[in-house]
Amino acid sequence: MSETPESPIEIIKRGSHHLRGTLAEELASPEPGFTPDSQQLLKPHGLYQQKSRDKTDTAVKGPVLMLRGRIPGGRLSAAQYLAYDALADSYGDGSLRLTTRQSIELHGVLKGNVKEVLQGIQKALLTTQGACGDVVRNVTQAPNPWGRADIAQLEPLADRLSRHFLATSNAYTEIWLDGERVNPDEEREPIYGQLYLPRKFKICLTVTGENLVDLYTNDLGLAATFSAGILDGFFVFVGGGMGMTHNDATTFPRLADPLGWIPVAGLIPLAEAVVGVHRDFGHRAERRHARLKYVVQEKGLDWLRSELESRTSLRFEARELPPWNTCSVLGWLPREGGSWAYGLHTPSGRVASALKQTLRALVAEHDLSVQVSPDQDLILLDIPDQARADIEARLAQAGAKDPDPLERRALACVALPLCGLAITEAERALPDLLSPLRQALVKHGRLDQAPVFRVTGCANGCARPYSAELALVGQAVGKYALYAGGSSQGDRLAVEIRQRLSTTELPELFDRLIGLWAAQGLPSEPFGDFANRLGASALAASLQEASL
Amino acid sequence: MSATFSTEDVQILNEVMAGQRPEEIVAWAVARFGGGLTLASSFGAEDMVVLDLLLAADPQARVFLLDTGRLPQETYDVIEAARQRYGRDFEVFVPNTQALEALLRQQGPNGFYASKENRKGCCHVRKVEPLARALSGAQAWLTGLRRSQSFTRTLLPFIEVDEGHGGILKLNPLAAWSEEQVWAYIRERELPYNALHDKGYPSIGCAPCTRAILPGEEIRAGRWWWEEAEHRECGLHVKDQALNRIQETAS
Repeated sequence: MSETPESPIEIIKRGSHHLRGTLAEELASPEPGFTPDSQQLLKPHGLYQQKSRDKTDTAVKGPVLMLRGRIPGGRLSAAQYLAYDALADSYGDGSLRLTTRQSIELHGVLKGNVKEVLQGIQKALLTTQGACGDVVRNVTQAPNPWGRADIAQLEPLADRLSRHFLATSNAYTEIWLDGERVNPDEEREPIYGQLYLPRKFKICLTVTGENLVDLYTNDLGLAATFSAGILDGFFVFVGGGMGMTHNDATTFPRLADPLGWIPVAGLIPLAEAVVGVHRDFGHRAERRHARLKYVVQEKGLDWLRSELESRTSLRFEARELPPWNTCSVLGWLPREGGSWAYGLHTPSGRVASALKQTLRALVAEHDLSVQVSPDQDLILLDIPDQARADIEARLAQAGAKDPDPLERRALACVALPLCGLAITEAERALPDLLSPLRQALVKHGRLDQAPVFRVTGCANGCARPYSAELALVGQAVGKYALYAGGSSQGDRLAVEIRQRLSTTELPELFDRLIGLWAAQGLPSEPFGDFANRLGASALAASLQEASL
Repeated sequence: MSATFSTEDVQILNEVMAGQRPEEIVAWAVARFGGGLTLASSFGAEDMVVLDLLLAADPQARVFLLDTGRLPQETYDVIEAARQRYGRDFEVFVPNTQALEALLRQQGPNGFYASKENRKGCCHVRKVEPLARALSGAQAWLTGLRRSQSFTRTLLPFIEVDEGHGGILKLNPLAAWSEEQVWAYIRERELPYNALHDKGYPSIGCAPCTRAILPGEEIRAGRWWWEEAEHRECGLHVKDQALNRIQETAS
């Protein structure tokens, strides 16, 4: 490993004095943006430099910044949500974007305003540190609209993991918050070292049986078990990740492998050991092979288990994993203790215009805490019974619609015009892609069992297409690879069925696919299970036959 | 304006584009950059293909040509033929008057034959500076460059960050095409083309600096034929790193 050259980003990190680089100097300069090297260093501070590339967008020219919050479990108090809301109006593009990692992004922030925004976030007792870049990212957690006592026990642990893996570098405080300067030579990064991780690292927490967090797509997934109602340990899953590159068979989406059960006291040592394996063995020469999943794939589970056991005093215990479920968090849900939660479906996580104003008013008036779900929806919590009618009426007035069964769990990544890697449309085209699928589901009487459907504008998989029941992955402008066969519980990979489908072919193809499921599926067999049972080649062949 | 695509983004995009046809790469560029995309056309064979692909994807796309003042009559003929075929005009950039007057006074009308420095000075005034002007404000530009055109273009990617023009993207959708593919496309679509191509001129620049090539000669052998092969770029497409790498590999 030491023989291979470092990727350019490794060299930038190495020379950065713990993520400082020349960020402070460039921030003070009148230039509208940061230099390419510094753009890399912005990421571990939770910032991305972007430029709106939409041909119709003439409002903002030149570089703007995207800020992503570090919000463990997506949980925000009313005051914290209102802080984000106000910052988006004052300094962003007036909208909030909820992410699939339960975070909130602000878009369109000018470089000259970024300190005000980050200081505003700091005042709300929040940060953006470590929301992007080669570090442990936002820790996700099972959403809890029901106020379930078991899920609630995850909250302090998610917070603790998030804090534990925050870089110790003082750079964030110095550069953005006008904090006192510390000599970087006297700083230590006990977990990360001066190179930080080879790539991003994702951790999620849930309870056994509940997989709305898409646990298998994480580098480290933890599913809690309980004894007499008290959290006593975790099933540990390691080595998941969605990213791949078309035409490069050495890259692939991968689901995390179960390693066994550990007691709760082992949580932090175990997490540190898994992060340590990534730090020490991850490939630093090539970014696209740098995720932990490639180490796990190459070295195998026996090696991984013994490496982790030797780094901790833990022994993985073999236990039987209960089956998974994904309970909907949308609509009205009663909470323990008599209050209510309302899960609001926000297509692609966009909160803007009238909906944003209404949410601000509701959160402020009723002092509602909120939780962002891993499907980019917003859950309003602690709603008193007498406020329900008012909230429902005002949300409807602001244009909030009840999603149909297909929309409920549909995801799309940002894609064009904002993402640098997008090959084709995803979020903006989602309604047009859902519509032929909905027609096919209605025609064959299957709308109520609509599959988990996801769309991405390139192969990197930000909207987790490879764990969906049905997915479109962008390959060229207006052309998508079709994936099918994941499960609604997120514990199986989808496989590629067809390549380079153009959008004009979709209505007929969806009609055949759903027709085939309706004709040959077992009673109450979900679409993903049916597609998996048939297998990719049989499914592709059946579609071919149907077209003759 | 700073770069908006990281080296890593560009590397990944190149891998994706390797599996795509030129019309798909052009369609991506139109979807991605819209009015920020432009085509610098010399109206040579490759550029006729790219022009056709681009106008199929977006009939209103920005297209410009650099009129150096010394182009062969055949080039003006094909420009006119393209204006007729597509029923539209193209932006034209000409050399800066004062710079051109000074150049002609110092070098004389044929000074570019005297030394490489003179020749580069002439290219700069007639092509390089007007190109920089044409590209200011653009987010990406299309070219008809191909890998097999010359020794200096063998490592040509589909997409590169053009540091020489403010870090905008430079897109070479025909990078992987052969000369035969270019001509098959032109014939199939009956595109107008520069009549000099039929007289042994595969690569056409200014009249005094372009000659026909002999069978077996390299495609760009007729450009500045009196200079060493590795210098035969006008400066529109020179990328120091790539050249250095090729030279290291070769030696």
